[in-house]
Amino acid sequence: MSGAGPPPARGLRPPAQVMQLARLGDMRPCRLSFVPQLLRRLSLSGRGVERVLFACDAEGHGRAVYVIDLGTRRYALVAVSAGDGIGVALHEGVPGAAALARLSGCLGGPWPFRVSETELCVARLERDAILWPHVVAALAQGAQPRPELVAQAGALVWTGAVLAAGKAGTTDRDLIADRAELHAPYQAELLMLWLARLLARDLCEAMAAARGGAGAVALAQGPAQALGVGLWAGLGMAAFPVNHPCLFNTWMMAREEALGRVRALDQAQGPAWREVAERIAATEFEGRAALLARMEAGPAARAPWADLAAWAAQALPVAAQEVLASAMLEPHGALIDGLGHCMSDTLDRDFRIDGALPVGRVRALIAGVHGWALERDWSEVSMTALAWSMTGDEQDPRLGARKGGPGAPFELPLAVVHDAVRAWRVLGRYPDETPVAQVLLDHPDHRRAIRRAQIAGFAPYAEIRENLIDADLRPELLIRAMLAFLGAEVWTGGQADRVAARVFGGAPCPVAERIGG
Amino acid sequence: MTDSLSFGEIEALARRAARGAGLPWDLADEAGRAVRILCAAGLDGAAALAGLLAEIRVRRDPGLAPVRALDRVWRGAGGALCPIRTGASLSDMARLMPADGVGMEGVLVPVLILPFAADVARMLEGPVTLSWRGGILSLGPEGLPHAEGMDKMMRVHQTGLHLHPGGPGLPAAKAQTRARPEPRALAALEALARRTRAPVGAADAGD
Repeated sequence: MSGAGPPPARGLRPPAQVMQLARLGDMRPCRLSFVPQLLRRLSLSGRGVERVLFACDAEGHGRAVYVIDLGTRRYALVAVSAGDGIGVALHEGVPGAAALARLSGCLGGPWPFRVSETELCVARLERDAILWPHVVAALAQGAQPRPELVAQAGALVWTGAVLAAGKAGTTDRDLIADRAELHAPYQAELLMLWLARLLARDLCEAMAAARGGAGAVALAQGPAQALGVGLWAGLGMAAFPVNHPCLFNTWMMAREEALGRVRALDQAQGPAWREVAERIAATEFEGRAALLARMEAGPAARAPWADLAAWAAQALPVAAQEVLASAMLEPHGALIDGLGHCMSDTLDRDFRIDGALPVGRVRALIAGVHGWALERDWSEVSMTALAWSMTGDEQDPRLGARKGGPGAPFELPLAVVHDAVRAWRVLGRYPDETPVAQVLLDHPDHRRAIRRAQIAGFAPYAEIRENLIDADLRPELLIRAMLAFLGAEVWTGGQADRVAARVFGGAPCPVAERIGG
Repeated sequence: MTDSLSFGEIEALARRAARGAGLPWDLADEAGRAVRILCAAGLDGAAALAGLLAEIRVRRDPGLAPVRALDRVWRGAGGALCPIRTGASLSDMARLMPADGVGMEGVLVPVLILPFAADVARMLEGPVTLSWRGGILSLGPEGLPHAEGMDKMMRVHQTGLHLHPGGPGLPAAKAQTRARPEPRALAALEALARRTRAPVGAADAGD
């Protein structure tokens, strides 16, 4: 957290406590999440969105371009609506005729689209099967959609995946990561979805106007603001923190540092205490009544936030502790928002193993992180019951039973804890003072585990304390942790390998200024 | 539109191709990263890796790695060295690098060593010099330069190499923004990469 500056945080929570999967899965969005970071930037920039092209028929099929100016650069949402799908891309600058022609071709074609280095991300949105036609029909008749349907559906459009950072031909993250507006994670992807939300409303209104003529009305600000963009998050999202330990460490570190700073405050201002209580009152979770009763008594005279958090850690379930943690950060933007700049990292690619490190030290590093797993009996079938693999052209991995599954050649290297245990055992055959470079020469198949052990040496929150191939693994907890950092609210989470969520629900939904087309 | 690939795409493809050719993921990671760095420096890393993977498959030789990390001259049991395994060891050994450097005998597709030599320079925070019969190349700590020697090395199939700290250290080249691999190499890597994908239906048995 260099560069974050004072004031010093009060003792951070230990990784062995925080990095439990059950707790990670209970995390809630907070003001350091990537959606709030984007919304703060958009509100600070104060610049509107221009709709420079909008051409669609009565079915809502056609093309549109929305341009936003973020100060030093402009970005454009290019969209092609065809059938029930809307292909969207975030383009660098305002697209010229040639770029528009090229994008019109590929965004109207089959998914996944293939774009060029002038695009930052792409996605394919689907209209909500129930809400979309209802909104169009209501507006066409001069009425607003029924509030209960708006509340139930939550979004006019849904997307399964946003491809960015080099995927599908988009520009590489390295080439744009130093831009202030894109430095925090997922800012381009979320900006695209935020613009797509304005587009979805405009498309519904255009369809209603085509159907209802002069009697049609625009979507009122209330429902427009209530509606977000839906996300189906799959196992690709679950694997992300495992595949990016250094990056995930910076996210966790920023959040824990922020909590530490708030706990270190000597006093609580009355409005801040009340704001946190109000947020908690508006959230559903087990333990809410006890927490609110405790807060009702008012802040302790000294270090009130630390006092409240310490009480919660003893008295409340983990999920309630994490609700409190996220809520506690809200009134303290001036104290913690700078930490949002510390949530990017390139060490996942750039970190190189130090082969001079002696074997004994590497074993100690592994034991320090995965000590609990060294004691376990790994011959138990349930300990290695699952395997992650990629199938056909699918973009998300699958998680299935090892026995009868596709087999070792297809297995993805996500069995981090098992691999660490295996490496620890192999290392044990060498004298402690041997440089680990020799082990790596003899056993190149332990490079990943030894590299991760060295990463854990400087990145305390890099490793999740959970066996990801255990029969009882709940992969949706990994997805929920990712969604919390993204700033997405879980919508329905009934399945183990897929969670429906949404972003921007309740966020401002400005009307784009109409220019030309 | 497919005339260029992002570096992320070429890295992911190279990584999967190396795994598909039978390397463990651990070395496939290294291969993918090396290809990305070569492409960013304007060299066709995909063609280099396709050449190497074809060669490894023909040789089926498990002894393509140096035997002892602390030796002054690295030799494989069969007389040839894989540039990925050897390069990874170079990078591992950066902090233990003797002042007079380390020799490597019979390195296959030696251009794939370059990214790892650049790692050594970066970790030592100073230039390193790589020499072989027919060429010499000095790399600075900021990354791969643009030098004639690199194109020359691209054409070498197998050679002995010597790497030592020091030398003039050419400045890093301005990085490319896209990878432009030769279509045949791309096709070869794609074919190998497909082997890492379970056939549709195979995973269902386990669901």
